[in-house]
Amino acid sequence: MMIRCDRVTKIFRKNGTEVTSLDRFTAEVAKGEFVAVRGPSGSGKTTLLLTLGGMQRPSEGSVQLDRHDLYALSPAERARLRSSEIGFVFQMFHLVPYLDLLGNVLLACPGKPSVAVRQRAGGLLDELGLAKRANHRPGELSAGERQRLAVARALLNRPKLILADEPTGNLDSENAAEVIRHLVEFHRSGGTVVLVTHGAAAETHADRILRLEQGRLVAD
Amino acid sequence: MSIWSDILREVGFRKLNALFSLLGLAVAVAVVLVSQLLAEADERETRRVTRDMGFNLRLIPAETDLGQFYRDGFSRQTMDVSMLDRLATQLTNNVSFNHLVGSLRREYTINGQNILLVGLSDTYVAPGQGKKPMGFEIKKGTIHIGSQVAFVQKKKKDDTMHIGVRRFAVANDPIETGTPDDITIFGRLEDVQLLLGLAQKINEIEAIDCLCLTADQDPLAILRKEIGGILPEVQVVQQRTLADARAKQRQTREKVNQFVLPSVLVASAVWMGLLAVVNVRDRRQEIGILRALGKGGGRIAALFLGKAVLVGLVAALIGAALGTWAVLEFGPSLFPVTKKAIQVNWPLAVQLIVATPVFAAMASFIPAMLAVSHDPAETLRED
Repeated sequence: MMIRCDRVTKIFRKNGTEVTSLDRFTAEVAKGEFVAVRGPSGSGKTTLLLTLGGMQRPSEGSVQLDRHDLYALSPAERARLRSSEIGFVFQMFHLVPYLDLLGNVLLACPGKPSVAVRQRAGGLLDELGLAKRANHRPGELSAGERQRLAVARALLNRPKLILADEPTGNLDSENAAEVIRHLVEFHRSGGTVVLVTHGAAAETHADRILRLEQGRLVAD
Repeated sequence: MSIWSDILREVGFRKLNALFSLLGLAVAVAVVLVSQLLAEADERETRRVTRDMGFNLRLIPAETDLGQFYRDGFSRQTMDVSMLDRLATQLTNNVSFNHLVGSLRREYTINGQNILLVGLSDTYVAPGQGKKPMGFEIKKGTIHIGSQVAFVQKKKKDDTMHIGVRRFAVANDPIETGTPDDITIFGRLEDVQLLLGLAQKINEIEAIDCLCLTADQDPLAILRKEIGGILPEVQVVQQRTLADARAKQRQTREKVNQFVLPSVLVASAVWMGLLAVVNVRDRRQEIGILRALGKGGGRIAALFLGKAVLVGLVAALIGAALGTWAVLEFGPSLFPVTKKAIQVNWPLAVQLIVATPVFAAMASFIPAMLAVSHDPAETLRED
């Protein structure tokens, strides 16, 4: 089992008001599975993704990632696990604007990148059609190219899991299809994907679709 | 990627933020350097100017009749020249001096002209203060003559002049001062002692900046007590106006320094801190993604503190160069009397170059900690 969530609840407190973003969410994702998460805005999809990625401690419940009880680990251990096992792709790309493309991909490397890692980063840029722009900065790329760059960064460490938060949300259909194609390739090579999406096209590739409403899992 | 290369790239990317930080710190360094160098120059200038007004403390033989002393301007009694050594070496920490000079002063007649003949010892400089002797140095075989002496004796610079059986070269261009100096001949103490038949004798020790800077006690009483303990054979006369002028000048300078330096430091720390906060805000997404990629707080703090150190170092170099240039360029016109003494203060410049990066890092510490403690999930959900 890649992910096991047991009654995961996340409550945000703002200005004295409590908002339940995840409500006793319980689900499992097997290794090598491609899972799409759907739901209306505010249904807790991003919260779920950040919680699965060890970025947001749940108010209650537990998350197991590849047999590790994620939130029983220290922050440093969680950071190491995140670095080695998980790749993130976000809707807003979250690239570092002052680094060139190669620098952005290498950012995922823990420590100083070896020659082999640099070669892999160059290879990924090539695979994703960005090799000619390796020395450009993200600000010089189109939205589709930026998202492909984010995918390359997510793939650098050969993660077991990719968590993608509406990665096609800002892309036209052609670029969206291109990004989904890379996620599907990762899945076919044995990787696990959890994809938060509004797009129906992505669902056609998913093994399962989880539907969230008001933080609750209403369909699996 | 190394931290430093990332920092350099970020500096290049957000040029304005780095530029404003750099300017703020460079100006602060320049102001500190300029204010210190000008304060030193101001002190030198004032000391030099007040020196020309005379010594502030006069030690004369104890048995001197003060009526005679004030009437003639010197004591008719003498004391041993070794007392100068005793005073210079035995003064305690309660009393400081900058310069001590022993003198032998008597009326004298040359070719029917009544003059004052004054022998001056070498100047004792306060130990460990590195100050140069003040006043004119009288070289062997030379004398300095007043304008009235020059006029009556028809002498000018480099002329030869006989005093008694001895022959001297006139070393100065006599200028009218409107003081007894116009009818005075200054010579080396040993020469004047021989001319007057008073070997190893002086009749006055003059001190400049001989001070006891206590605001709440009578400084003259303390000076008399301290000096009396070392030299019971003297009485102490203080030229209070001069002493007060020097003390006030020094206190004014210290007050200015007490205001300028902390103000500059606080202003530049606030400036640097605010810019660092702006930088952290601008980089929230970057911090978020670095966290998501498993980077620790140490690396994130290093990105911000490293930038502060780098900017601080460059700013210190620019500020030190700017401040030094300003002092060397404008100092001489501000302090014309002592302009030759205006120099680069290398130890201070080095201290500033070392201290500024540390100071910049301290000013950026709180923003850096804000960055480290920033919840990345908050940023990453702002899509």
